[in-house]
Amino acid sequence: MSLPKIDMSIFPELQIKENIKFNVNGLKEWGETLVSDPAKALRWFWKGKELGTEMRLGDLYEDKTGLYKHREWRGFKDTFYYFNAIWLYNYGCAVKAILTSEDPIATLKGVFRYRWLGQDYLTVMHWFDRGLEGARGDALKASGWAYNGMVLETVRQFCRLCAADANLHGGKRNKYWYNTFAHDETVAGAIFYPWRDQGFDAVSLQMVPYFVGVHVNSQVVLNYIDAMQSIGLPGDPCPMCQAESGIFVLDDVPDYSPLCIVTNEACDDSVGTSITTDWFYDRPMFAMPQPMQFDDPLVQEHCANEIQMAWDFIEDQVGVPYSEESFVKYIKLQNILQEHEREKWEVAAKTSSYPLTGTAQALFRIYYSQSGWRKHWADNDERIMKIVKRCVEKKTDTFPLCRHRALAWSCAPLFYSHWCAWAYNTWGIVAVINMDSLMFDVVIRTDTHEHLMEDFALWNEWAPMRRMAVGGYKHIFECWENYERFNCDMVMMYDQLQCKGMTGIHGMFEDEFRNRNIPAIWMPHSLPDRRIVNRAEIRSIINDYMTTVMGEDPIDPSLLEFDDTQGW
Amino acid sequence: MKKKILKVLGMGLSVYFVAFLAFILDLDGKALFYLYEPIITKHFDDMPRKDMTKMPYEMNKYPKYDDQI
Repeated sequence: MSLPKIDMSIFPELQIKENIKFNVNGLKEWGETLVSDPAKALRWFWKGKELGTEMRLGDLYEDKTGLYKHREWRGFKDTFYYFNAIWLYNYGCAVKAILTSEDPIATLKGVFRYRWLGQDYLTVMHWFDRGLEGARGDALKASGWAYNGMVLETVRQFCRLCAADANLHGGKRNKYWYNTFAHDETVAGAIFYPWRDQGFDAVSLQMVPYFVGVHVNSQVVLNYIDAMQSIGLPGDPCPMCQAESGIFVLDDVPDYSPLCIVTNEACDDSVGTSITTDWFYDRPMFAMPQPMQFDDPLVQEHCANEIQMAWDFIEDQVGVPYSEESFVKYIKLQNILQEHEREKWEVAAKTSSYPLTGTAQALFRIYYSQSGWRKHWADNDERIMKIVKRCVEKKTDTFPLCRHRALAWSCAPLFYSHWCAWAYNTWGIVAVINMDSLMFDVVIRTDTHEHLMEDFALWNEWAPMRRMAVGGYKHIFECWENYERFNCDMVMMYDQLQCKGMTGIHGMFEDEFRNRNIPAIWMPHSLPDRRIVNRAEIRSIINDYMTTVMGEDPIDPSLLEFDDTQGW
Repeated sequence: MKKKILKVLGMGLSVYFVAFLAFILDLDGKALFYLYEPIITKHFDDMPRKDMTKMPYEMNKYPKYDDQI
């Protein structure tokens, strides 16, 4: 019997000896320093090289791949915290969550059935690495917990998708299939609270297959964008909607639910997604629009009626009535998260002791509020709150390299959400808060059904990309009051090139920035598509602004220019 | 007994040390990038897929869910 031959042609770039760099220069340098200056060598070992003067983070990258020659030595305590409580812990958490899920075998099958699952999520620790570069002490700890919450939710969602998926069960629809609701990622998970305690669960069609995946591994989504364009869609509509639809075109959507709820959120392109969903995900579907001009009080009533109609549709389809008890229970729990969020914003606005990195605060907030209350969100939020309180009490300067406090406004590049870590380490720019973190800012009253529905409708309208970006120009101009509120001295203005709404208001923003004398950096991008504007180009735009307009020198020059075009 | 405990402890420490080596040298990233990714990419590129555009777009006509549990 002969062993099967491995087709080596699938490793075109595999010249391991040439490509993989195990950098021992750092160790060599440390050894030499130990001889010449033992005190310095011991300080490097115990505290790590000083960021801003001795540390050269850019030297850690392999050329093109963005892999590390070796991971960052953050000092003894922080390196072992990262190793034990983040690297080992999160690998362990993910494995445990999969093994204790509804159907671990189905998840394993899913890894080989769905590209987004097989290719995106194994690289999860690199997502942590990129987002937590340069973070030390409590900033590392708090941000690590935020990332852990996202890992647990992602695993929950893909495990449920696989457990319920008829494609992975020989076409047979099991009990999970009948008890899972499919919905657009922009339909909030909270809509399904009334059935949460009645044996039902809801999983978004695109949150894990598309949105979170792009943050972790930005290569996979390109298949879906190209697939949608291959059937005739021009390249200029919103790439988010292109990608969401492309997943269907490539037959990469699990068949996991008897029904589907879609929406027009964030904009008209999402209506296009709803049409492709209706075509390719052929099952009873309810379109639940979220009003754009939400200031009109009459709209609240209309929106509440739309939600009620969605609930009626679910009742009709599954034959299980809406439970107000279940709804109120989870709304109350969700309110606690919202109250904590406001406390965190206060700390971020008024102190230099806020311990979450720009990426961690933005993604944690958007992810938990969009997908709805879960125990792992609440547990990790409690852990973060403890660290926040400790930092405030001790007046810890959590980001000591901070030179500028930036408000990040408009919609962020998904393929480069970790630009915040880069900007902090290179230029001392701390993204204090970003626009979409501020949406869903409603503590919902639960004293009467009328109050509940009134507030829930408003909450539903104040969704990401809707509360400010598509809610009318005066809301996108809330930029100025938040600039003051969060004590910022700079705006990082995201410029989503394919967003027609935001392009329409570009000139007005430029006028306002000039009139108000606010330093603003326009960051062009194309949401998930890294080919339109790549990461190096974004870095170069920021570098140019910081040197020519601000007249500053970089903190870490090794990060100014590097090639990570093949990286995740 | 003492020997056994020491042996288990030694093995545990060795595993921990190897894991730390993998962590600090980013061996997980390198293995995923250079070994796992080319294989899984080829697997997905070669996978036969249904031509979804052949699916008729019909309003209010759904598959029958006759295998209700």
